[in-house]
Amino acid sequence: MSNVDHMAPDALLVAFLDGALPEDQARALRAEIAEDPALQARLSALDVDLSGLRPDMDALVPNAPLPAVLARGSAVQLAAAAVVALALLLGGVLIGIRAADRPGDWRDFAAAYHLLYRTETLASGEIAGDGGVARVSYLLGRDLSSLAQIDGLDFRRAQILGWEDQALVQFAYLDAQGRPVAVCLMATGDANIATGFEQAERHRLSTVTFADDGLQVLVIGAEGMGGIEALAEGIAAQF
Amino acid sequence: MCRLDRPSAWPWTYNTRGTQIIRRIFPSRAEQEIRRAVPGIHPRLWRYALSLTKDRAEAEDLAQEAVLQGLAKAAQFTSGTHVDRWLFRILHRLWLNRLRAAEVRRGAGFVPVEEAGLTAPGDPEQTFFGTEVLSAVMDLSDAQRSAVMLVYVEGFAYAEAAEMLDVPIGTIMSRLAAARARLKERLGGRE
Repeated sequence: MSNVDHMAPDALLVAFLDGALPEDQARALRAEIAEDPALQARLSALDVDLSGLRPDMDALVPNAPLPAVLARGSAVQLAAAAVVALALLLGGVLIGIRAADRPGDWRDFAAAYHLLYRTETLASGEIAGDGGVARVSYLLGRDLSSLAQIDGLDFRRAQILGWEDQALVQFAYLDAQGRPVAVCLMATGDANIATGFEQAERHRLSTVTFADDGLQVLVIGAEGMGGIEALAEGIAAQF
Repeated sequence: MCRLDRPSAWPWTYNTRGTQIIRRIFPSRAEQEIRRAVPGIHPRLWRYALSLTKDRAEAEDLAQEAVLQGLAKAAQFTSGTHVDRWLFRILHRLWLNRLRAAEVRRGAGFVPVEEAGLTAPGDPEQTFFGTEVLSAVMDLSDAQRSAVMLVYVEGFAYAEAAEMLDVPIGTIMSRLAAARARLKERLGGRE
């Protein structure tokens, strides 16, 4: 601190207590304090234990609301990006999508996106760490760590997508045969909405949907893949 | 990289609905940087807002508004610098504006916040500020509390906190000294 000599005594003592003074200046001040009872008294008047403050404030973080503005903004971009990507990569496939399957139902779009996945899509690259799971958990305001540890599935990554104004979270896995499996989650906005398990084939993929405790959940597996409903029931049991 | 920022001399093209949509689909690098950082920073913004407003709903609103304004003003953000400092500074200014507006509504006219000695209305939410240290900090003046939160909770350097609060570094240190003295009276010394 270059202007330390011009500091008010209290400001100087605060910098000393905070360990913000350069070592040579701290040493000089320490010597001065040792010989000056008035400085000792002043230092004592400022020397309060604030070590508990940060942990107290850290404890508030789990109560923090979701950054809704982020979900809204990124949803538009991601939906747009998804449209562009699908148009470029799946032009032919999209032509074949039936009118009833056109966007309007996020589950159809999520299934069409999953259609792009191959074993190599998920087998390559690093496995998502806790950071990715923590990030999507925070986004949906729910601890989703159990979705990274599902028996029989090799968890590969958790990523944030978007549908219109909402954040859409996707957990991606490979099953024992190396087939891509996905669990997609989106907030319903109403914790009271609960539905049973709805099986449907979407774009030749097996899907099961249910809603519980404020979340819509879509489980997607390969065509004819068994156990998708059991997987959905297992996930629902954890909510 | 598709960069769609326009000089301010072209407002008739820059602010059309169409360009707004395009900017949302293809955000600038600075806006992308802010968006990427928001999930990590938002809880800190919110708790800082909570310490200022002492009210959960208002804190949520304030943090949300700060992020929105940060994104709206992304063109003013220098890519590669600290998003957290940028958003904390915006949040604090928004809070001061709210306090000033409240004063004007009360008929006091426009007065600098520091001179008016304004404080947030209402009692702190005991649910959140139940511990002894936190409760004592919440009883500090707004100016002292802001300095304590930014330096001792958020870990900003004196100079960084001074920049966020638009005050000289010496003012930050004086506020910390005053805060420490008051907290010492209330909490006592180190064991």
